[in-house]
Amino acid sequence: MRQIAIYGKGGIGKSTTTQNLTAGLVEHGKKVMVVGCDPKADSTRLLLGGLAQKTVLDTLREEGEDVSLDHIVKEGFGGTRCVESGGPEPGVGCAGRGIITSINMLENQGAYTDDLDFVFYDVLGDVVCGGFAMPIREGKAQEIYIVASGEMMALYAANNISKGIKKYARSGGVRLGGIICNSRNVDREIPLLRAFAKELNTQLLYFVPRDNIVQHAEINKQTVIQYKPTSAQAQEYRNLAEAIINNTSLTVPTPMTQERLEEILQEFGLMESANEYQI
Amino acid sequence: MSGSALAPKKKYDGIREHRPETYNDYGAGSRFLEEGFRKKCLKNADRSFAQGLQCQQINSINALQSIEDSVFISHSPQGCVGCAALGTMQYRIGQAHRGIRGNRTPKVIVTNLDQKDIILGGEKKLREAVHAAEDRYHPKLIFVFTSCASGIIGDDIDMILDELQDEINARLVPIHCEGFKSKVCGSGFDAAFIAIGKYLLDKEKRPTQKGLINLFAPVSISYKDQLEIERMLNQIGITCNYIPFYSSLDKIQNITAAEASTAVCKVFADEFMKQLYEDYGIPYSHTVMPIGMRNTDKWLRGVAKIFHKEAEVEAVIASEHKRIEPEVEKIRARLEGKRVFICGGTGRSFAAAALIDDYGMKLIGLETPTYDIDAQTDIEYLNGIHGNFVVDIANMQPFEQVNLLNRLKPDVFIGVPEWAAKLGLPTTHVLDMKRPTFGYDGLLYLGNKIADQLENPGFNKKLASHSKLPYKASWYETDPFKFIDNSVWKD
Repeated sequence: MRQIAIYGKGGIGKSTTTQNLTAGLVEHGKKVMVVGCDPKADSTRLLLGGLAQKTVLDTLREEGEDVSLDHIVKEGFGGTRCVESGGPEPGVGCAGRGIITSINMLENQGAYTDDLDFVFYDVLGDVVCGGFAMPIREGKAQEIYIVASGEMMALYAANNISKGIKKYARSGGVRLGGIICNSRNVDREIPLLRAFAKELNTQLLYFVPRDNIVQHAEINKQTVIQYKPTSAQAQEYRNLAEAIINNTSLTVPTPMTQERLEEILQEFGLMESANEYQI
Repeated sequence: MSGSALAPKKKYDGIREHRPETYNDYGAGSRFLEEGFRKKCLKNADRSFAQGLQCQQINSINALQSIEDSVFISHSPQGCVGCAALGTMQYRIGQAHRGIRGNRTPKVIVTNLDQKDIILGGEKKLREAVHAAEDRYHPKLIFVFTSCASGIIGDDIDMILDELQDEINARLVPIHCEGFKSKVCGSGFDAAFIAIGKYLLDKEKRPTQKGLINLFAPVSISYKDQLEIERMLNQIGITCNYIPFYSSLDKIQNITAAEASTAVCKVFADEFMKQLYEDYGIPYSHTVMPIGMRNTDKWLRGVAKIFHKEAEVEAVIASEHKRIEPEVEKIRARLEGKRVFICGGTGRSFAAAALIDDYGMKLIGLETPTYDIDAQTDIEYLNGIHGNFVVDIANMQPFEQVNLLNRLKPDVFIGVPEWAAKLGLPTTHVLDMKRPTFGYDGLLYLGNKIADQLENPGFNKKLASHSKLPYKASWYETDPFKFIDNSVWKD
């Protein structure tokens, strides 16, 4: 079983990428579980065809510690197992502690069965505190993929996340598997991300081009593979799945200083005549 | 910019570490300490190993626990109120000493934050606890103490209590005392006083009552001490509003009616007295703790000065001296030249050190939890009498203390005797919160007690032969200050 955590800047498309990639893995005959680690509980919407799921913490709140797996694990597209950690209502409590609790509960309840090939943790945004680092602490995810784009803030977040990974790589076995680019059509996006990945001692694992069909699929509460199996974008996700299956490059990242990050952006991130933009 | 309307007005935030020149960790000679402090070379060294420490919440709860008609809600996991047992014990003994019938126990409710509440927020449990407090006890005051856990998850206690106030008859008082905020026990008291000032006092000063003084006393003051202080002040026509121990909402609100304020402990209510001066124009005397002849005189003169009773107080002091000096002489004959080690609270350590001067004893070591400008004044005085002695700035830290005692081998130990007694040393408690230590009578009581212990150390000797402290022989050979990173000030 490979346990994989997906991190990246908020809104970059982690959940979308994870679920579409999962659909690709399912087509390969893989058995996959997706654990959403976001209080919004929207990490499995496309696989389940809607948000109707009860989260681990909802169950904890209403029924107490003695949670049965049937209540929290739902079967989604192609037999995937979907779990949402959930969290407190906005503005109260501690979402980080919620993630620690729900992942421990899943473990104690035996949710990780031997027939699984992949477990994905889809974590909200940055490694803001100990709780959001839970999926990469010992015994949990061994591989991390960071979803990014050529935008400055996405790279900044990716660099920050790498600091967290580096910290836990020292004590546990967690490694960075690469950067997945969810394209925003930024200028020279591929060379920029390649250079960034290289500096981070990792690779640009895959470049997912921007395509409106993703949006259409989302509105229809489906993954692209389910929504339009023959589309070019569906093939992209299949390729991404393949890249993950075949990936053997797992490294300890070397996060850079803010100055270095900005240098790379200067070098790769600008078209020669940046001031030509006009509305 | 100073003095202009735009200049920021700094407000004390209740954390003693934020006051300039406050130190928690030090281990070396008293001369070096005095000099280092004066030259501003002293820095806060850090202890890489510590055995126990008080947290801020403990002291905030203890400071208020004996106020009448009150319920105390600790918004925390269960363990945090373990400390309430100490306060309960003190309170019950204090009532017995005061001859109160129907001995009461402080009403403490803990919201019992558990894993679920940490994740989802503890707001609901706090609301329930406040209602339970009102329904069960119909108190006049409900104090709500924050904790580490509620502080980390950011439960908005002020807002919750503000909303609840409309439906609750008791006054609701939030106290921000997250345990991790400060290592200095005084901060816990300060948090309690900040809340009193903000939530209980009227904006307008009550009409001044002639001859009334606010006497701020920490929980560690025995009833005998209270009586001695009141006796001394009564002689110069001053009456006391004893706060906050064994007080009530009415007594607390009457704070603003006083002509002046003082405290019996140097580190207690000092910031609050400043605030009372700024907000209500109530002057205050901040001198020493009235232990020993010199300090008692000084303390009394300080108070008399604000009431313009300098002449009266001199007469009282003279008559008191005349009364007790023959007794002091007798005790002195039994104690002269004995070598002493002292360990107490910040105020108490230095005050007790002054007391031994009355009996001609020699100070060889002193342990105190914190060090600041007030302590510096004391050290200057003590260095003048005793020369260089060892100072350990430590909130107890028994491992350092037993190591030091084993090296210094004092004849007498004064202070918190838990560990010294087990080494077989003659010990005298000055912080047991039950027996007299203050004023002229307290001086005689303590002197006799020290001498009795010295002449009859059988109990401690027996105790030592039957109990063993948990340290290896090798620890006693090691530098007692090994775990204090002194590189910051030993250049």
